[in-house]
Amino acid sequence: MNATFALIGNPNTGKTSLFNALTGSYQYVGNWSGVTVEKKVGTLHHNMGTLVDLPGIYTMNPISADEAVVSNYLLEEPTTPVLNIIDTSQLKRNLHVTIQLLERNRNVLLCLNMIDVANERGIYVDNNRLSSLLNIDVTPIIARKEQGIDNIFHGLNQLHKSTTPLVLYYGSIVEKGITSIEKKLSDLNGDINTRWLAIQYLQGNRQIENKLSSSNCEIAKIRDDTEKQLQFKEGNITLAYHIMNVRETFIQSIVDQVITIKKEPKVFMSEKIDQIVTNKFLGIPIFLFLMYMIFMVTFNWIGFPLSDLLDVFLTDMVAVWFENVLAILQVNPFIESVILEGIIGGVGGVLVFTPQIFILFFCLSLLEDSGYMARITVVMDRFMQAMGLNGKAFIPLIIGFGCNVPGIMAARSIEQERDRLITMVMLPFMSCSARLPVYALFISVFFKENQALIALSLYVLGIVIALLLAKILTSTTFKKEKSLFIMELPPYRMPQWRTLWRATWEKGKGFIRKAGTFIFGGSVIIWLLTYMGPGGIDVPMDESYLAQIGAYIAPFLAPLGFGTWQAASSLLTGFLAKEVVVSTMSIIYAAPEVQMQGLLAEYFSPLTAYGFMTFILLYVPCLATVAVMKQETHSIKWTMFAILYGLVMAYIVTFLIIQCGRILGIA
Amino acid sequence: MNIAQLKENEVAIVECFSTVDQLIKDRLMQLGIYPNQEICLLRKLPFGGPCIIGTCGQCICIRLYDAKGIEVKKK
Amino acid sequence: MISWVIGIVIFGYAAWTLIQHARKSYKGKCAACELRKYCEEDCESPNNYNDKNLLGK
Repeated sequence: MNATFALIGNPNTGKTSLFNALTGSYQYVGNWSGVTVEKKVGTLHHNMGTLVDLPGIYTMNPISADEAVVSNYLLEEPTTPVLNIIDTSQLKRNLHVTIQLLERNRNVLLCLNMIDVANERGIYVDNNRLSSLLNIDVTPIIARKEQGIDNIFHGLNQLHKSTTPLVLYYGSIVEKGITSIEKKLSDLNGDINTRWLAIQYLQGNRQIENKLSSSNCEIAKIRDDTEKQLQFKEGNITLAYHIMNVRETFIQSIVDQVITIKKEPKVFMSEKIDQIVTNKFLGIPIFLFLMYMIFMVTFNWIGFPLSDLLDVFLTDMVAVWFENVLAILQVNPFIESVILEGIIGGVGGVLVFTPQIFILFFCLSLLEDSGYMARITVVMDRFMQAMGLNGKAFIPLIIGFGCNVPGIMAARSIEQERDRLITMVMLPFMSCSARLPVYALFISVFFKENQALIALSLYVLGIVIALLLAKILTSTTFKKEKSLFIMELPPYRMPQWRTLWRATWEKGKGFIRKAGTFIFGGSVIIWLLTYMGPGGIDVPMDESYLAQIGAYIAPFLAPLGFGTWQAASSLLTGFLAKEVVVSTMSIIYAAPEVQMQGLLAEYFSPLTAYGFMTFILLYVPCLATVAVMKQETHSIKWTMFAILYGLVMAYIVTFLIIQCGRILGIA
Repeated sequence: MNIAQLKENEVAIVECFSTVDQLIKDRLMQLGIYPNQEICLLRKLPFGGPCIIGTCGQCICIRLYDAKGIEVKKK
Repeated sequence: MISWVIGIVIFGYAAWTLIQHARKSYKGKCAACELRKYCEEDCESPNNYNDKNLLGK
């Protein structure tokens, strides 16, 4: 069967949880509005066809970029059956989307999600009644616990193909407007419901406006006339408000018939937690304390001990085993060298830091799944306001600690284009997990005492530089517009181990996969460049091609304290992906007798090591980030700006750190 | 009076949006805050920080400036 | 002989991964998406940054 179904509903109602349950695939879930910012496609179980997961919407009319994806999809695919998921505890608000879907056609299956949460709050819904009132099938489910999933498959099979849409009466004036617009649209081919189009147009749906741009003048006039007549009759209200009000009245009549409230609302757990974490005085300290704890766990308490164990395993067991096998096979020295020094050195050097990366992802998943993420935006909004931005920008920035690419994508849920653009340009300064191995390496050599503190200082430095950029942009280029902020605070949820583990694994898996693919490839090429030189093959490393390339750049880095060809060529490879920096260093600084750590101590002092880490933090975004930034900003100018600002800031800040350090007498 | 003038945990009925930005107004409507709706001011953050308001079992956070633009009547 | 085989496998695989990586990153996220048919439009945000409405609304 080749059917396609679309999954649509309010933000944060569990669409992605349901998507994962129905398709057995894994997509990223979190507890705030706007986790899904683009379409995702999965294959349904039982060979039922495919399911498309769409971003959450409150109404068809898009305000932010992610919401526009849904309107577009409904326009392009007028006959696709829809799986409409709603949060049962917020029935009234959720039904607005349902009504608009039904006005399009009745090919809709309604899922009442989170019935457990609703029941806890004393809200009970009569499914059968709701089903007969709306004339569609209704299935109660608990997506997070995967309860009621089989009923959905059953329901999707039963989905009747009748397309008689719901018709609400919007009053004589608006109805006249709808009919006139419908006439203008009569030559529009395809299966699209013209009444739905007309209503959406009257309501001011921007996406529909773009679609109908050919006959724009005439229908725009109809809309203006309708609004004027309406205001003449009803007083000072907008057309959009009137249409919403008609739906609201209809929904209220339904809700009154299907909902029974069995107990009085009391103070919920969420509210109690909020009293503490969004407390007037404790809010910001609690946030900073939690961030500090994340770094302690990632670096000091669990990360490094595990990383050390892995290092011992790789050097003492894996490397030795390969050496023996290669000796038995009697391969030539060239192959032996590429495997032992290139691959095991380069890939192993990065893989050692897998524990830290997994722990960091686990902590981030915990923040995302619990619902605390939305509170961070509230607590930090006042501060962000001073920077000319809004608190919502914090979500993409924190996601950026994992990887900058999804961070830039997450910025789609920011309503204002201005704030969204600034957030995207700030993102490369969020120290992503790929930069973490570099810190972990240097910290383990030079800063054994204060591991977490040094790491934290780098992350904070990144944030400060990013905020500085925001401040500059908002007080110059974007001075005219002010930032806006509105955020829905979802209820807290007890994070589920399964969800957390899957989220951590899916993100961490990417790191291991990279180690097996392009970090492998990069290591081999870099090794080759160190093995060959103008003088032939198997040259001393100082005479290799890599040394020559690095030597061109090294003089520019001399004022920063690390003007060696080794440092220069490591930085150069980082543009491909930041992980490769550590691979390069593992290959370059590998000497048969001494450990890399020992050799590093010869080339760097604690001060220049810190400077080098700062430079890595700030200098240029990786290739993938640049590509996604160009795609999301639609602007080469802004992408180039982000790269150049990074390079300039990296140079200035590192220079200042090194020079101040020297003046203060730190070696 | 407006939302910002309410005390914490005070309940009021929304009368109109006077100076609220259009984008915020649209979003508030979508979230179910419009004239004649009952709302409750849950918390005001210090130094002119945002306000958290509750309605129909959901929490919404808006800036003080916008809260000042929403006219309400005490219940 | 065995050296040749291992050598070809290693360098072949290395070249392939690098080409893949460069291609995927350069294309960005949308091009790799399964629903490219609609995606080409969806990837455009409703307000293009090159539009004039960015500064004066």
